[in-house]
Amino acid sequence: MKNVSRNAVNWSVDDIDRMVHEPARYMILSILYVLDTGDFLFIQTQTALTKGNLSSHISKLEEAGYVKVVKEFIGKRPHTMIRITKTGKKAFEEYRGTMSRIIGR
Amino acid sequence: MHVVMKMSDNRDLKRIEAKLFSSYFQDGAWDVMIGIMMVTMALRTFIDHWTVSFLALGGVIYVFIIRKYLTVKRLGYARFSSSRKKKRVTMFLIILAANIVTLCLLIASLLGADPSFALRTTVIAALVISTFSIVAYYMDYWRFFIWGIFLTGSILVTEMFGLGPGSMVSMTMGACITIVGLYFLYIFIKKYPSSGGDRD
Repeated sequence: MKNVSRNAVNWSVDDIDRMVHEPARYMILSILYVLDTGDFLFIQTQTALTKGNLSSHISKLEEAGYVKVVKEFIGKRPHTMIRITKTGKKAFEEYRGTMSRIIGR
Repeated sequence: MHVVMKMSDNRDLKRIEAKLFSSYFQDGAWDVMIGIMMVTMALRTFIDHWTVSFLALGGVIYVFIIRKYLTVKRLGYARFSSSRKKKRVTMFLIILAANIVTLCLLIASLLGADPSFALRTTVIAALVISTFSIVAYYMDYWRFFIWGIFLTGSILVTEMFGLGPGSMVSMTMGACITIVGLYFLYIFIKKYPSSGGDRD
């Protein structure tokens, strides 16, 4: 399968990072990439994902080491602050590079 | 449209950053502040008492309250990257330079120099519009440019027709800007309902 794909279109499905490729996760990473850090509510309002859906994707990204979730207090209120890690940034950049190459841009 | 981004967006990261940053201006707080300040400046012509100037503080307090108790609670909290901080520093330095030029003009007029009407009007108008344009550009807050044109317009009317008509124009424009700001606040509240204090 891998060789057939590579021979036909010069790329393999394995070249694509599926963790980043999922649209909601890509959207989350795009936001976190341009921010220093953002809280859960900010990411939610910007993506319009439901709380459960966003939480699930954040957990997956955290397990992959792409984002770091930190609970902190701003004033007296607890905030779930989310930050993209170096690994996450690298994966995001590589994904963009791969996709640009595949679609020939 | 509820979201800033859509799955199908062209992922121009700079554009995304600008969109995220400008989402904080959807609350119309700054518009109200500018509107209140313009109205206050105009009121000073009709009510010659120093306390009127303190009304302008109402605009600043309004921004503080709206941001702290409404915007962040509904929109969420984000810290932007160092490139945004650099933009802010550049903006601050340019505005500082514009203020120094204004101060020089003031000192020159206090020392007895009387620049021609055309020169004075041109310099003041250029300073106001350039300052507002710079803020609009660096803050990705394009309404500020329009408000700059409004303020410049009222200054030009003051210079050409005197304080009375100028103040009336300033008050009218300030009131319009305030109404626009309040309208944006209404839209913001509808678009981002309260999370009820449950942030996670």
